[in-house]
Amino acid sequence: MPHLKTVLACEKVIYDVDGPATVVSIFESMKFRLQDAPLPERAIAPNQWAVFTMWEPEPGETGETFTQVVRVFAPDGSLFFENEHTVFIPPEFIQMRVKINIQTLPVWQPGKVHIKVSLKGDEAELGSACFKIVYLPKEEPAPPVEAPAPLT
Amino acid sequence: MFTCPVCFYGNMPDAAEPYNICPCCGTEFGNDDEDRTHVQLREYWISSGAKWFFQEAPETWNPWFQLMKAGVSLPYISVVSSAGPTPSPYYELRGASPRQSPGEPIFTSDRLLEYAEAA
Repeated sequence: MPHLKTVLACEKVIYDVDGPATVVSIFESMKFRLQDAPLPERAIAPNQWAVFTMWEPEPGETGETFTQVVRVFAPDGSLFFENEHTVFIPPEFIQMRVKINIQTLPVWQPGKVHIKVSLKGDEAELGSACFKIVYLPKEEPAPPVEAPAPLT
Repeated sequence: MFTCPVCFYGNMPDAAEPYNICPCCGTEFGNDDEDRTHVQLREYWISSGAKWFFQEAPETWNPWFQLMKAGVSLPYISVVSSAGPTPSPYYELRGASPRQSPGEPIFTSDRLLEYAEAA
C-alpha cells in the first residue's frame, strides 16, 4: 500500500514541462465579505482551487495501480465533494503526485473545510488538510465628509 | 439520462415530455410548463430556495453548482476577499518576511521597492 506523504489545499498546482510541481497559495483561510442579502442554503462560491497529494509506493509496488479517494467536507460536516482517481505506479518512480481541481467552495456557513484522503477499498483516513471559511462584516459606507468651517 | 430544461439536473431518468417529473425541481412537463416558460419555472424554483423535490437528494448534489455549470447567474454575490491568514493574500504568496508583522500594510510603494531589491 503506498504511503501518503502530502495533502494540500491550494489555489493551483502548476506542473513544469520538466516535471517539478509548483503549489501556489496554500489555503489557510478564505475570507468572504457578505453582501446585503443572506446567502441561501448550500451556497457556493465559484472559485477554482485544487487538492494536491503526493504518494510514495513501497518497493515491489511498481506496475500496480491504486485509487485515491478525496472527500471534501463543508463547515457543517456534510460531504461537499468526492473524487476517485486511479494512479498507475510506473517503474523507477519514487513518488507520485495527484492534482484534483475543484471549481467551487462551500460558503453557506463559516467554519472549517476538511479534506480527507483515503484509498479505495479501505475507509481509513490516511491524511487530511483543512482551511477556514471566514465571514467578514459588511463594508459600511464611509461617513460623509464635513465641509470645513469658513475662515473668519 | 436526460437534462431538465428548467433546473439543468443532468440525471433525469425520463425525457422532459408530458407527465414526466424532474426529481430535482419537481417540474411536471406538459402541465407546469403549459402556461409558464422554463425560464419562469426556473426563477420560481430558485426563489423558493432551489430545494431538491423527490425523496433524498444525491449526497454531493448542489443546486448552485448545477446552475453555475449551466451558465445561469447565481442569485447572490460572493466575493473572495483574500486567501491567507493575514489581511492580504500577497503576504502569504510572498512568504513572511521578518520585517512584516500581521496587519502591517505591505502595498506601499516603499515596501514593494524593498521586495524588488531583496529579490
